[in-house]
Amino acid sequence: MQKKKGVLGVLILLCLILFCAGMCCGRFQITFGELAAVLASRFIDIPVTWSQNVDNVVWAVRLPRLGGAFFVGASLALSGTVYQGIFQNPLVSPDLLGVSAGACVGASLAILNGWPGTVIQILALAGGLVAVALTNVIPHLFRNKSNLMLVLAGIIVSGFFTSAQGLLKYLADPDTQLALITFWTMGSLAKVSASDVLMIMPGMLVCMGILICLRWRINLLAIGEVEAHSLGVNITALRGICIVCATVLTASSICIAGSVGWIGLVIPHLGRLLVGSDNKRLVPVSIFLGASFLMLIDTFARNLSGTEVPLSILTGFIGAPAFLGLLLRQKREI
Amino acid sequence: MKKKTASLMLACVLAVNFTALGITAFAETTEQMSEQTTEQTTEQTTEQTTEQTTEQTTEQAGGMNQVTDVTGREAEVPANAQNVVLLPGPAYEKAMILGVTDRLGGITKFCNTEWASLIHPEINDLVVFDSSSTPNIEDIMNLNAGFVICHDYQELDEQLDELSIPYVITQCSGELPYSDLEGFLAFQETEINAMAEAFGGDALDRAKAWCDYFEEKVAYVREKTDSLTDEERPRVYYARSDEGLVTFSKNSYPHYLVELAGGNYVAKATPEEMNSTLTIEQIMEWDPEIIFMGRMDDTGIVLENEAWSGITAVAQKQVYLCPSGVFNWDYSGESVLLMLYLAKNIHPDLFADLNMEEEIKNYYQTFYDYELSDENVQNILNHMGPSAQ
Repeated sequence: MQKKKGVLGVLILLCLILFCAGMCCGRFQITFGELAAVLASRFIDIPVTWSQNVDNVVWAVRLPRLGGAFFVGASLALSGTVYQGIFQNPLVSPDLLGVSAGACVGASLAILNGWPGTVIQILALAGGLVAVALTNVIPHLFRNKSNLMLVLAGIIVSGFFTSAQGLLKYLADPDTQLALITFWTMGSLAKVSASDVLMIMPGMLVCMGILICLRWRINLLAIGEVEAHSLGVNITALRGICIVCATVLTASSICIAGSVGWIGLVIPHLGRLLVGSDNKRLVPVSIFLGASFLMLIDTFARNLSGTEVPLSILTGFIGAPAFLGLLLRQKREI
Repeated sequence: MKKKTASLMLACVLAVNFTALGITAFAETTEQMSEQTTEQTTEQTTEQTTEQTTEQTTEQAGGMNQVTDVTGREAEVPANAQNVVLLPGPAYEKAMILGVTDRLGGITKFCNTEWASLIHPEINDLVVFDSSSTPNIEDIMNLNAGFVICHDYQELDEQLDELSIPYVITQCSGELPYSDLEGFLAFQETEINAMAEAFGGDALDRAKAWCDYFEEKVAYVREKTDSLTDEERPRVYYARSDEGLVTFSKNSYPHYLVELAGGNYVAKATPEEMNSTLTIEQIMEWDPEIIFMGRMDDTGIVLENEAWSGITAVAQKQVYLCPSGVFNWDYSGESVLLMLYLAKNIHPDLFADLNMEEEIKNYYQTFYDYELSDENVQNILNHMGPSAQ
């Protein structure tokens, strides 16, 4: 147990290292000295010896992308951890309640109508929230508020929105819109700008803050509905707050990066392997683990070739085998 | 416990489904290309079948036409065939050149551009297929199509073989049959000739006239650009779509058209053929001196994007829209006009004598028998439809 104490510190350090590495790597060659000078030039007065392109690569391309990767990775991992805690189900991911499918439909609708980027993002957020709201209404219809009913409702809503998404893709102009929609469904940080990151940051930070504050209460949810209730915890309110925060986190991520698979599912498991299943420690660890993972993946996506690789392809190829490994290992421990 | 196991399994199934969906979606876009919005015309199918039966008798009276298509495959199609179906996007404009639009039965939705329907309003009476690769095969049978012009999509071609529907391949989706400039030039003529051989009669002469024109224009451009040294060839980037990050890769039409026009086509360094989605850093690394906006109608997409601002072409405002006519200039019979347009913009001094407006008018008059107004020409040059949209 002793050696696990420093895990969070190590992860924060890893985040920093990956951030620096990500800033240095790219198809466009810049030396470390240039990078440092460009970064410093915004704060201190030094003569400009580099081209406009170098400045743009640092400030308009890599910094927003890595910033985006940090927040999206952290949000997805955190919401995955929270969902898994709430539903006491280790195979749950943020897609469960239909957030991703709903957000993608919202975004596609905006793309089809030729609306600008901000509207695409707002509709993505709205689509995600509508989907989750629908998912939450269904159990009420059956007067059955169990977790299983909610999960089934999520499947129904996801299925419906996935079909709607398919229809929109069918209607899309293959030349201009289809590629854009596909990039949304596969996830990409290629077009993230600094203003995008700044736009979603406040909401994300608030939700993260709330979830971090509530992290020990999520443990109570994890011990079971009946047990938690007997301890005097208002289950419905707590679960509601957690779901809203996790949904906003996921939907905001989808807003700027499209739907990136696997992170919300695999990262919490990796976190549990490192610090155990106590959410008090797992929540912060998941945040930095998710952020590190996506920064790493995005650096690959930018560097593997001159062409852009959608994130979900990489997260799937790395995430799926990693998940298998984790499951095998957990089984052995059980 | 049962509940837990059930939800566990469901979650598993969901996760697997999403990944699979994602990968198919990615494959879809790479395959698809070309223009135009949807047009649902299922009702037309039934309407047309009645006419077909009468026409079929004349069709059987004639002999057969021998065709060698772009893949080198030998095909035999009925002479005087009617209700021909055109599945590739760049096909209707060739039917216009060949003067055989009255023998068509169906087209893909990509063919039906505003300019095509201005010149040939009857295009709107044809059965429209939503896909080049997976058309509704029963619609083709319903039409009793004399033959089908299509891509080399293996599954579709096997299906047509099975149903004994004759077909001629004029476009390649996978491996291209050429990998150098001479091969590209030959391909342009093979493509239109294959279609002409299938339709037979006058079409052959009209194809010959187009090939002569094509050779003449290529010779005119090469005479001025062949002797250019590497230093005299500016780096050119052709932004196809999607905020400028999608381009045509090596061996594409734009690759050779730009090189013919005396430019250095930066995206020829991409590993794959057809389309590539690039990272902005890759484009910065190439640092093009001139950018052409392929299937987009706004240069602001790159001119007003901060990340692009340090690229030489953007800094020096060397960003041009690409015209668009009966079909996209970058992948059709009108590519010959794109070559001229590229040459004029890459080397304005060398091509000072070239009048683009006149070239366009002349082309439309000669091959489509249509007289464009000055306003029409301006709209074509500005990537707009006849109604300036």
